[in-house]
Amino acid sequence: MNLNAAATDAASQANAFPPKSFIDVKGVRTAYHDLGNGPETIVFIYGGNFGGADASSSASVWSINAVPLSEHFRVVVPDKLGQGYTDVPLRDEDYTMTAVVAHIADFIREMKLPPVHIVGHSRGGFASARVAMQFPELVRSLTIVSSGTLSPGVGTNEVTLANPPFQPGTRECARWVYENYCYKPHVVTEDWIDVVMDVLSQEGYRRGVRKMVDEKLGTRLFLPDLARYKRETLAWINEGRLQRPTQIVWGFNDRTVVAERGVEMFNMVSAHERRTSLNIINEAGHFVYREHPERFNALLANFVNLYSARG
Amino acid sequence: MTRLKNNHASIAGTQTHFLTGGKGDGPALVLLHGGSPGLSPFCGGTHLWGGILSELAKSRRLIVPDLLGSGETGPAPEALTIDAMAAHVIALIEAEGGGRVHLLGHDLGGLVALWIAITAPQLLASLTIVASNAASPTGDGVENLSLISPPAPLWSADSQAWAYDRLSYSHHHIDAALIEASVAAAARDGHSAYAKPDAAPSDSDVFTSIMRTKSRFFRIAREEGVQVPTQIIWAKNDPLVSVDHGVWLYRIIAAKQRAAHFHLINRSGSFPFREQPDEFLRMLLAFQDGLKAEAA
Repeated sequence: MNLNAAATDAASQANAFPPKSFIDVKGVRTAYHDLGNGPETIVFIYGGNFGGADASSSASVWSINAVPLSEHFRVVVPDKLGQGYTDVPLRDEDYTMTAVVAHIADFIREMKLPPVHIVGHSRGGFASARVAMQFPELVRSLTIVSSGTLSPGVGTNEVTLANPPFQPGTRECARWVYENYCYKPHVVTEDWIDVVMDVLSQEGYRRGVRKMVDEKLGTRLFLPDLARYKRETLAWINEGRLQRPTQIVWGFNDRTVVAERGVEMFNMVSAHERRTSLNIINEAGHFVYREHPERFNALLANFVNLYSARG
Repeated sequence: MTRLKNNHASIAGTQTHFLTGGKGDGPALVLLHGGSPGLSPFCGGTHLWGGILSELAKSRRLIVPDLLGSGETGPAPEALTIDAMAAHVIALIEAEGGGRVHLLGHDLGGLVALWIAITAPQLLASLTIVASNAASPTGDGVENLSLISPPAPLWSADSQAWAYDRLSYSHHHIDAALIEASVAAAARDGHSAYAKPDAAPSDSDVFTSIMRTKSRFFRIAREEGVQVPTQIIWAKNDPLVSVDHGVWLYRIIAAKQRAAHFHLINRSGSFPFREQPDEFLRMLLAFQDGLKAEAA
């Protein structure tokens, strides 16, 4: 067996990822990728938040999932507020997860998408679950992938990734971060890091870093607001407000948010929503959809088919 | 609805009943039902699968036997052990499989399937273990009282309906077809050979063999591990075996097997393929489809 097969396939799939388009979402120039056709629409929401100086996610992290799935479904992958190639928040007070969630909902409305199958990873899993509860008319099903932000227990992201041994903003630093997120370092391909480095070099993105780090909006606003917002969101789940089919997908070897967090999240959601499932995949870290794209894609395709519109 | 064909043939020296049918160009799917002959208060057999067989037949070639001592299959030629049950299924796969097969086992069938994966991995494309108290670690488990007060007589229609009810999250899947087939199975040679209501479970060969096979499995898991891609499908509300047991079975296998999945189904007792068939189907087939895409 060719152990580098996944990485090689990843590179060719990434090349088939279409170029980004832009749409105005309430004054925020928003980048997105739009692939495929079909009555069912999948929207991928990646992790992280604006102002990350060590590494940065963007829409192309989903390239090896979006391209094959677009053979059966429409797949839309936006860049979140202040990440990738989307503008940073217009006002200082919008450096919050609240504003990120509102931006995703506004994006789905502006794109005039039918109720979507929203798939959120990490911080994006939190935002997606929040969209599913606050704007249920926009969502047909929810997939949460390895989300410490949404899980009630202790996430260990800060522990695993504390103080990279490289200068923040360098290629070595970004590679170190993603390699430590993953189970096998070889899945962190050069083209993955190329996009990360391009995003980090964007003037808009750097403005977000200055706001979050130099002007301390991260510690003064973003984190305390997220803590309050998370308390409310977990209470909403425990009140049974999450009323869409929900599958939870976890990498068994994720050191930043261990598999037990996935089981706890299943227990919390499944108490109120029958159509809840948990799926744990071995030899996968935080980016299970990049480490085992074929099996992740098959799981997602069958989930979307099961919970597609019946008219 | 796809009709499966009933077959009767001598397999490894025992008159055996098995269903075949379905279409698909991938490996055949072999399903091993649950229920321990003489020990379970319900009579296992192909009838346990219910409506899921016709769903699976749309995209898979199926081979669905009555195991030794169950349904319309006769008793084992010698002692009823996990090894004897595995040898019987291996002979069936060799006769009917047409190459590697996807093997799935529920309950006791889960342990038989696991033992085949260990002793004859060359026959399998994948292994699926479903809600199997027999395959997961026992530990110093607290006594399980789920089935202590069955109505008499054992294996009557009322008694078997009671058992299915006790083991389910919701009783709605328990239909007349299930009860009628279970009662019919109770009258056959296979069941009769092991139905000894007054004997202690520990006198049963199959009971002793379950414990012995688990122990052999744990040693092998420590050493070379399970050599075929494996998924564990568990049910949130199974009265016989906890989610923790399922996760531990998964841990043991995932330590050595790269392609290992754990799936948990909500609002289901011991029969997730009957209680939540849609979720069960999409997980089962996604694993096989994913492996196929990965190999391409």
